[in-house]
Order: sequence, then C-alpha cells, then structure tokens
Amino acid sequence: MSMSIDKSKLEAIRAKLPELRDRRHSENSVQTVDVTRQFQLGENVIHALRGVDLTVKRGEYTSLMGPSGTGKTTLFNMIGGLDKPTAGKVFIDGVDIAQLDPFELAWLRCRKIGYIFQNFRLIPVMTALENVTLPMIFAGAKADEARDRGVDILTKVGLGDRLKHKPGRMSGGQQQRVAVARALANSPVIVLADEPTGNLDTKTGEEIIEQLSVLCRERGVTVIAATHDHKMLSVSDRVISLLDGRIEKIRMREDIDIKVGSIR
Amino acid sequence: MSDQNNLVPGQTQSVPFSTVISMVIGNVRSRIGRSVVTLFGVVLGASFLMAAGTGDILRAHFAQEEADRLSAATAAVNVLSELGTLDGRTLAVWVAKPSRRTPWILENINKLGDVKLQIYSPSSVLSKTVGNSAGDLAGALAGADALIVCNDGVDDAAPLPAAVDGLPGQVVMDLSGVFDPEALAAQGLRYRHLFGAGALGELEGMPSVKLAAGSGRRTWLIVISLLVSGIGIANALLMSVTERFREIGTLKCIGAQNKLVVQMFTIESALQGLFGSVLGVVCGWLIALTASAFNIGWGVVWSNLPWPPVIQFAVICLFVGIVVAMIAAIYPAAVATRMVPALALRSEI
Ligand SMILES: Nc1ncnc2c1ncn2[C@@H]1O[C@H](COP(=O)(O)OP(=O)(O)OP(=O)(O)O)[C@@H](O)[C@H]1O
Ligand SMILES: [Mg+2]
Repeated sequence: MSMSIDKSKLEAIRAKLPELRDRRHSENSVQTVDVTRQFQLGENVIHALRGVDLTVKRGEYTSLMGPSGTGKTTLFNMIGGLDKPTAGKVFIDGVDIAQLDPFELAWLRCRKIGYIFQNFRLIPVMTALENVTLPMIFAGAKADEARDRGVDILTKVGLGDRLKHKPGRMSGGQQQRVAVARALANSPVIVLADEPTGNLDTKTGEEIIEQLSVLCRERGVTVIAATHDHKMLSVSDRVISLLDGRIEKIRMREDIDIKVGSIR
Repeated sequence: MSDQNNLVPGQTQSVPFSTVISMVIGNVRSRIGRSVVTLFGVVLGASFLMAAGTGDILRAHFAQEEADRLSAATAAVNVLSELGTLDGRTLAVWVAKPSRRTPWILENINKLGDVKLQIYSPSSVLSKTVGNSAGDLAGALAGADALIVCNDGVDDAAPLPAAVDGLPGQVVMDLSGVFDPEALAAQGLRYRHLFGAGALGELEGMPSVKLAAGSGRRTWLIVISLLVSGIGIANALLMSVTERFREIGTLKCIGAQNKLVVQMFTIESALQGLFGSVLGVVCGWLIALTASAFNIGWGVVWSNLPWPPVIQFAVICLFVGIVVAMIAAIYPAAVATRMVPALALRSEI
C-alpha cells in the first residue's frame, strides 16, 4: 500500500535515459511495421489488421479513412499501447513499445498520448471536471493545479458552464467535447482521435477540427484522426485509406484539395 | 513541452491518497446496495467471532465472581459456627489487605446476626457500608469478642501486632492463613483460619480468559465463518471488477498505473472490513452480554463487567476483520490489473 513508486525501478529507467534520448531525435513520431492483429472468435480467426506499415512524422496531421470494420480503432489501440499486435512492431518516437514494462506503458498513455475514444469512455460516476483532471492527477499534478487547468480546457471546448455535470446528464456532443478536453489534459505530443466529430453538429464539429489543427500547426502535436468527415480532410497533411485491415492508398494534401467532396 | 518528448517518467506518478479514497467512496456510493450486502457478510463473521470470544471472557469472569461470592458466604458461616451466635457480639475486623471478597464476607456476617463490626481498614469504603470505622487496631479491638483478620492473598506470615495481646482467650480468625498457629496458642489465643492459601490458589486457577479457551470445534466454526466472509468480499469485488470492466479499462487507457487499480480495490475492501467489523463487534458484544445476562441476571452483569479483556478482544476482532477483507481483495485486484485495456473499450455503453 506504499504510495511511492519503487525507487529501484525509477533508477533502472534513468539508466536507460541516454539510449532513449538518442532515439528520440528520430523524426518519426509514430511508426508501425507490418502490424497484424487477429482475433480468435471461437473457430474463426478475424483479421482486423493484415500488416500495416505506417510512418507519421512529428507534427503531421494524418487522417485515417475507411468503411466501418476495416480496423481503424484496432490500429489506434496498437499505437496507443492499449493492445498488443499479433505480429509486427509499433514505435513511438523511435521506441518499440513492446519493450516497455507496464509502468512505462501507463506513463506513455498518460503523458505522451491523448486518446479521444470513439465512444467517449468517460467515467460515469465523475463530473466533467473530474474526468478531465483525472489524467493530470495520474501525471502527478496537484489537485488545485489540475482543477485550474481542467476548468481552462473545458472552457476552451465550450463547456465552462457544465463543469459539475456528470456524463449521463450531458448530450452526446457535450460528452464528446469532455472527451476531447480529457485527451488534451496533459498536453500530449500525439493525439489519437477516433471519429472525434462523429457525434457533433456541423458547427461544434468544425470547432473541434479547428482546435486539433491549431494544436498541430502551432504546437507541433502529431494528430492522427479517424474520420468520415470530409471537412476534416481539408486540414490534413495526408489521408490514409484503410480497407479490410490494409492500407489501400495514401494521398497527400495537394491531391485532396482538388478533389474535396469526391473523396471516398 | 520538451520533457514530454522523453519516453521516460521524470516525475513520480502517485495519485494522492485522498483522491483514491474519494474515488473509492464514489464507487461504493454508486453501488450502495451491493456494498451493504457485502458489509452484512462481514458483520456476521465479525459478530460471530466477537460473541464467541467475549462469551468466553464473560463466562470465565463470572465463574470467578461466583466462586468468590460462594467462598465469602462460606467464610461468614464459619465465623458464625466458631462463635456459636453472632447476636450481640462485637467483632474487630482488621483489613490488612482488602480484596474483592472482603466486603462480601463482611456483608454476609452482618446478615447472619445482630452483630457490631469495628473495622480497622486502610479503605474507608468498607466501614461506611458494613460497620464502624476505628482509627487503629487497638481501637477496633476495644470490647471485641473476636478478631477477624482479612489478609486476603498475602502469603508472607506477618507477626501479630502487640495490640492483640489485649484479646486473651478470644478467637482470631484469619481469612488467609498467614499466622503461625503455635505462636498464637502460646499467646493464649484460639486460632482458626477460615479458608487457607490452598483455597485461594484454587480460585486463581480458574479458567483463563483467553481466545480458544473453548473447544477446538468452535475454533473451527470461527475460522470457517471468517473464511465465508472473506469469500463473500472477494466475490463482491470480483463482481465489481466485471461490472466496472469499462471504467477500470478506461482508467488504464488514460494512464492509470496498476498500483492505483490495486489501491482502489484494497481500500474499498479495507473500508468494508473496517465498518463491517465495527458493526460486528458491537452486535457480537451485545449477543454475548445478553446470553450471560440470561444466565446470571442483568444486575450482576452490569455491576461488574470485565472491560479490559473485552476491549482487547474487540481490537483483535477489528484487526482480523480488516486483514481478512484485504486478503480477499488480492485476487480481484489481480484480475483487474491483468485486464487488457483495449477490450474494455469495445463493450458498448
Ligand atoms: N476484441 C475483438 N474481438 C473480436 N473481434 C474484434 C475485436 N476488436 C475488433 N474486432 C474486429 O476487428 C475488425 C475491425 O474493428 P475496428 O473496431 O478496428 O473497426 P473500425 O474501423 O474502427 O470500425 P468503425 O468505423 O465502425 O469504428 C472488426 O471486424 C471487428 O469486429
Ligand atoms: Mg472504430
């Protein structure tokens, strides 16, 4: 029940520091190498990902498209360290996350990656503010510090007057915005957004897209967003189409600008 | 933001204890029904343990008390038979060393006849209730027919004080047999001792007030009842893990350490153990008290409760309750930490 972290573990991590720092200078923020994920469902094997090679540069805005069930969420879970690939490797800032122990993995999810889940995944028994401050507290922030920052972020997503509301008493769009605020809580360097505008009206959707792209352009945050929303594509550097667990095509921004509205 | 490009924890990530507590309380409150049922299981186990243990303590205590009262009555009857009658007699009482029995002996003597007691005692309480107080032994002996020495529990033979010389031919009744009979006979005194050191020794050898003084079979019953409460808690927590699959998964997805998940379960369980055993201890104590009052009457029980061993045992019960609850949390907590976070995200709202 000790409240402090194992000293020897911290020492071991510190010892690895120089090596990790070297790798950090790689330009690649996210890299997947031949990532495969299969699910065993009784007799059947479901191939959710069939070998995905993807490289995302630091500060790049990438959109992920594809029909339902092609493996977008599965891929996000691999990148976010929430699930392990059946085969292949995932590198975050050049570090193979399969090498991380549970403590480091939790740290990665907490400090480095902001994940906007497809179905919000807010904690139902907590208020909007508590939901947003939770990752900050996990990161070691003081309670009042976390509260101030939480109020700030929630106000930015337009929920300054809903701080004390629990998710059950909020609309889908409002919950979505709390989820966005929570993902940004620890100023992550990578934001994974799984259909972040899926439940929003056009105007709020555009605001979220605007916020993500500002984060990307001004703060150099790497954004990967799964979307069906064409407005989202116009702010993207690249659009990656996923089909049936494979990358079907990758298009650059220039191509998209011409074809906006016709892309599928 | 440069330090965040580091894939290395630069800062310890401990969630403050108060935050964990408030998360746990939030959870208990949102599932209050089940918490109450779990609590009830702990209450049952703890009250069983408490009732059995304090039942032993009370039984031993009141057995001792009963034996003491009986021997006090015997001593008084012996005084009567020694003097033939107590009516109109004056008795000097020297309470050299009072014991619990002393007032009972004197009360009994008072009841056996119209007797006058002249008490010389370091404790003034005695003379207020059963007789007149004398300033010294000589004062107590003035006009006395006999001397009763209440020297309960003192083993070393004390010399009789010179004042006794003024009591030739009278009876010295010694309640613990510390005087030398031959020396007294030489002084021309009749001597009896009304119960000896042997009898006292016997009394001290009464059943000791310890747990498991009872039969081995009951010890087993207690162990089993504790096991059942432990399993009840473990089961409730396992249900909680399943029910909160999504919530715990989400916590892990946004960066909660396994340690936090373990803490949440251990604290929830320990709280249930604490409150359950507090209630159980109270219930168990009331049960034991009622049972013993049923045997010997409320008056006797109330007037003389053995608080120190009972409180000591209650503390043991609380400790056992909390420890059992925390042990019960180990397996559910392990299940929760082994959970793959991504799976928790899939289940629909
Ligand atoms: N835990 C699992 N067990 C079994 N099958 C799974 C599991 N997770 C994902 N799948 C399957 O993998 C495939 C890809 O799922 P995924 O959730 O990644 O799709 P998606 O692209 O995010 O779809 P959508 O646009 O509807 O969110 C689907 O066929 C799904 O049924
Ligand atoms: Mg999905």
